Amino acid sequence: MAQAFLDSVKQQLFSWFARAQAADVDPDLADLPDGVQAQLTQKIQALPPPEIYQTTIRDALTTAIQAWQHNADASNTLVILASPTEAIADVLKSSLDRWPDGPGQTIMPLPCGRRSPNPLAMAQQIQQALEAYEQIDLSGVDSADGLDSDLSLDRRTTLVIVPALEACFLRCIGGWNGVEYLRDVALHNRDCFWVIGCNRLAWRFLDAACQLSAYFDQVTILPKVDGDMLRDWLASLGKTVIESGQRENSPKSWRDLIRTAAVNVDDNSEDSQQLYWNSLVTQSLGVAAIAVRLWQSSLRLKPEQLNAELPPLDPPDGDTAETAGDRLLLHEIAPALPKLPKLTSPDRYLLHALLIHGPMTRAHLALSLGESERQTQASIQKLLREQVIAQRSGRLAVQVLHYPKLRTDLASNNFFLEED
Amino acid sequence: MTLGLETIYSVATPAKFTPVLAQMGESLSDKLSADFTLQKTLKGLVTVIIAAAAIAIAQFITNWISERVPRRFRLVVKQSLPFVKGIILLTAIAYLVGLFLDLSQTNLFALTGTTAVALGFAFKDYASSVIAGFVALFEAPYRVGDRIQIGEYYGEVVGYGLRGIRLQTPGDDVVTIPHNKTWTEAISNANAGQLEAQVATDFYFGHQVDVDQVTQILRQAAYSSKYTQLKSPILVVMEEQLWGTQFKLRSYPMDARDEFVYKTDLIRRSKAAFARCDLPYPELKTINDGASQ
Repeated sequence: MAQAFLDSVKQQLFSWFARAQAADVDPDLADLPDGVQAQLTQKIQALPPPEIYQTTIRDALTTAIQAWQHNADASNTLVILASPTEAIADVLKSSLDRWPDGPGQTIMPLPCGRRSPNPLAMAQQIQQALEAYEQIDLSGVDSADGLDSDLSLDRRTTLVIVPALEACFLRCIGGWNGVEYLRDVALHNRDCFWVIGCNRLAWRFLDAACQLSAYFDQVTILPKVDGDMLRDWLASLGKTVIESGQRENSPKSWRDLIRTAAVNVDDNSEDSQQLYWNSLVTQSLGVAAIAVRLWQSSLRLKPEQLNAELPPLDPPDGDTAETAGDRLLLHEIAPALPKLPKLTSPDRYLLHALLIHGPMTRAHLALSLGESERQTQASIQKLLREQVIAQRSGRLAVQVLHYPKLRTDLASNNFFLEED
Repeated sequence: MTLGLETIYSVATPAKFTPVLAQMGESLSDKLSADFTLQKTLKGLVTVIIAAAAIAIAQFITNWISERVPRRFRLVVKQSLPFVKGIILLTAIAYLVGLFLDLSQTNLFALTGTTAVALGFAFKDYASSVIAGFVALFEAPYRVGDRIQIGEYYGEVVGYGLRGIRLQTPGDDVVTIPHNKTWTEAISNANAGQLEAQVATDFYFGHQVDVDQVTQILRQAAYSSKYTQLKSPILVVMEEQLWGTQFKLRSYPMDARDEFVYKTDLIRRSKAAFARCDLPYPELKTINDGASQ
């Protein structure tokens, strides 16, 4: 309880200072036009995962696969956990795709991120999907006898990727039979190495419901990114300059004093940059998916730039010393998370369900909440209007920028989260 | 002089009460009560009004805040109310006593005895409740926000007064129960200051039911309910009855206030799963016709 309170106070303080700083520089800068926002969004979507994510996944995989290929009794599974806001399937796939001398033959039998329309038939659908691969033996999965049979190390070359385990279950009676089936298949097929991506909240739920960590003992959590990593990661997205928000007037109140102490540095000096990136990291909880959106929301343009023809974010010939001057210069103001609207109890249950399952349809959401679609409709509409959730391709998901405050709110209201 | 217990207990009727007081009164100093002036009376009145207003404001603010802060802090805020009220009352009484009474050492001693006897006869139950209320503040058999059962009444403690507590029942009735019930009645407290309280939900089946299947469904019902506190244990216990097999699902909602809606959610989810599996419910056999003829 004390931790939740401290987190809440810390977050509030950050928000105050960030908003105060943003208010200082806002009059001189304008929001990005829609075209630039769209370009940026596209570039963000095409951005590879941060290097630290890729390194962590590769290192964990290398160690685990080496042990599996050299020791008959070694574990044949590795679970990669990420924040509920991180698209773990994309991170996992992208990291493996960018691994030049990868670990061997890789198969991905399960559809990525899409939940079956009938969650009660998930086990049968997983079975059907796995049947197409001769490397996976589905006979005798239910019996424990198969565990010790045929432990030939030479055949250990296949990697089975389950990019998002949360897409294989729904929180309803019989809704995680598919996960239990997958667990049994993975343990039965020791000639295959199973790499399973999962969101941390879903993992915590599944661990409570079907004791997954007792079976999958190798678990790696994606690390938090720090300021330097973020700066390097986002450098390719556009040419930016940090606005300090320094005012010429001398400070008049305690708030001014604190604010000035925080930002009283020259534009783009080391301290100013450090302050900006650290603030980004702290507010985004070190989660890259949140940090990049927060960074995007902190970008501004000089009003005079809006009247002229905007140069491109990227020069056509790439970013060389000669062409760097032709790039659009974006200004970074103090990053600030959006205000979380006042939530009711049904809102919280709904948002919690979305965080556990990741993007999901309205029908699945209603089923997991134990209500009819009509009953959940009002809450969904309200949260959509307040932009706490968003709908894409018919599926609802929590807006990542609201996650840090939402997480604190849920913790204060006794909801279980990925960690206490 | 000292007043022994024998003396007090020997005084059984109001007729005997007067001489005892008179006897005690001899030891009181002539000036126990300070001079009554208009100014003092007004001060006293203002004190009473301020104390009453402060209690009402404290109650309002506590309730207002407790229903708006995050769930985790609700009970902490609510439980502070009895202490705040106690402090206001004690301060007001101390001020009034200082205002109207001359409390020398002798006077204080005599006054205590007199008050004890007066309360013993005139306000025995009231005094007992007040004392029990103070004791309960520290022993904490119940606190504001707890879900308790006293006698036949069950509900959430929504008020903690000088004389008793107010209990809000599931039927939305408010029952006032004097604190002195704690001397004699058993008090069952479901959450004891915690946000979670165990909820036991009963299910009944025929003897031939597949108990493993029922146990699995009930466990999944608890894990799948949005109200369930997954950090707390979930348990299914069963008992054989003459008419069938009784299952009890023991689990905890995240907020004890959701007890009944939680129970409903568990039953709804379970019944839907039972229907899919076509599980046998207990059957009531009619008594043979011969007995009725």
